[in-house]
Amino acid sequence: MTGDDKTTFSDQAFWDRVQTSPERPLATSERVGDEEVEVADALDQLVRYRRTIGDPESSPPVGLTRRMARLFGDVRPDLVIRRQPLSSLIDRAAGGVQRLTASMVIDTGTLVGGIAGLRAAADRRTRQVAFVSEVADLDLELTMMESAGMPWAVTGQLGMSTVPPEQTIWFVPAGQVPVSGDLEPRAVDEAVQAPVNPDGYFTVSLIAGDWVGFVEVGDAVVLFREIRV
Amino acid sequence: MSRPWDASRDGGDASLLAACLVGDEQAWATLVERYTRLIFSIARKSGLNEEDAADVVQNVFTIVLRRLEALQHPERFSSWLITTSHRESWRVGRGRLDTSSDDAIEPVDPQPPTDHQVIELEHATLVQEAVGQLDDRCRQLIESLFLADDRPSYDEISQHLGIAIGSIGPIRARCLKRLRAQLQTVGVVDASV
Repeated sequence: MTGDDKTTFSDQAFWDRVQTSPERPLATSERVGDEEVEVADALDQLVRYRRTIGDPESSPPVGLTRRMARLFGDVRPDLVIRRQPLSSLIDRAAGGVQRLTASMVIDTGTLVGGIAGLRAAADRRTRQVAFVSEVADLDLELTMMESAGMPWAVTGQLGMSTVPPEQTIWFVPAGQVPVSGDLEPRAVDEAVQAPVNPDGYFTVSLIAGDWVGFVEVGDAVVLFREIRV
Repeated sequence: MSRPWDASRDGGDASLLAACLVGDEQAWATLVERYTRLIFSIARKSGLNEEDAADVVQNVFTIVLRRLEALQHPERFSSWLITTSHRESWRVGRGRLDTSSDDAIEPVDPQPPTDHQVIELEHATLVQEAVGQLDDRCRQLIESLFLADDRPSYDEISQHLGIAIGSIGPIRARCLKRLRAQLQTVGVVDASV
């Protein structure tokens, strides 16, 4: 193989390794074994790789990758999924604690100003959804990301008389929450938790689908059903 | 120089970024595994020592995390990452490390990466990914033969991998063929050849 773009034979450090296999005679630049002919492409790509970032100087220190993996929880604790079961919350919801289901009053994805039969405005990339209940209201703005397949950006506000410290809101895939009847204690996978600030605001990313919001308010658990993302 | 592998990359980084947005830490770990060497290499080739290059890696990944929602074209994530790494390397080199504010006015890198550099770095990432997709035995052999920094001898490879010295050649050939198939999958090698 010859040619300016065929770097294989000009990278002596690399080909020294290839050529010193004891069972094969030393190959010249014009003679290659059968397997090298068939896999010349792979070898060329390896040489090209080695020239770019495959050199010893490019080797990151031991442990760097592991430290970078831990950045996720440090920089974006808001994104870390709490995979512990929601059983404590759902236990309380299923038990004697007051259980409230909020009522949806606005969904601009289906209605305009509460008037049935009219579609939302032309901008379907952003929707507003609103719920009311005896103890907490919920306003949501759902924004579709530009790239297909990306989660929706959800900005929300809990309307409460006072937002307690460390208030959170949970979003659970609707398929994991019974539509009617008593809630059952269960471990819930893929739940998403968002911290709520003192003004009731929170942000969260949700993949497309149907979700149920859970908020614990004093002795009550409020469910916000039919959140369609 | 063309990028024949662009189409094959759709969904790889984009899927991982989407998963990160819903809190998937394993997706983040995969992204880190995929790109740490690339970022570190860019920093080192910019003239930074190991410690500063490691700082660049952390800076860049921190930027990625903070801007997850704002990445408008995740399908071009690797290109964006390369450019960002160059810029951060330049900033660290000038001693002007500032990742505390995304609103800060960013100085213009007087030597942004050339198109050729970006293409070569993207290519390198794909080759790394293709090697990573091999079975453990092939991956270890390929890495030992062609990618190891210390270039072990056949005796050392034989002992380390439990392969008879006389078998290294034939196994190497099989593994290179498998690597070629992986390179075709990621679009680095033309599948029609």
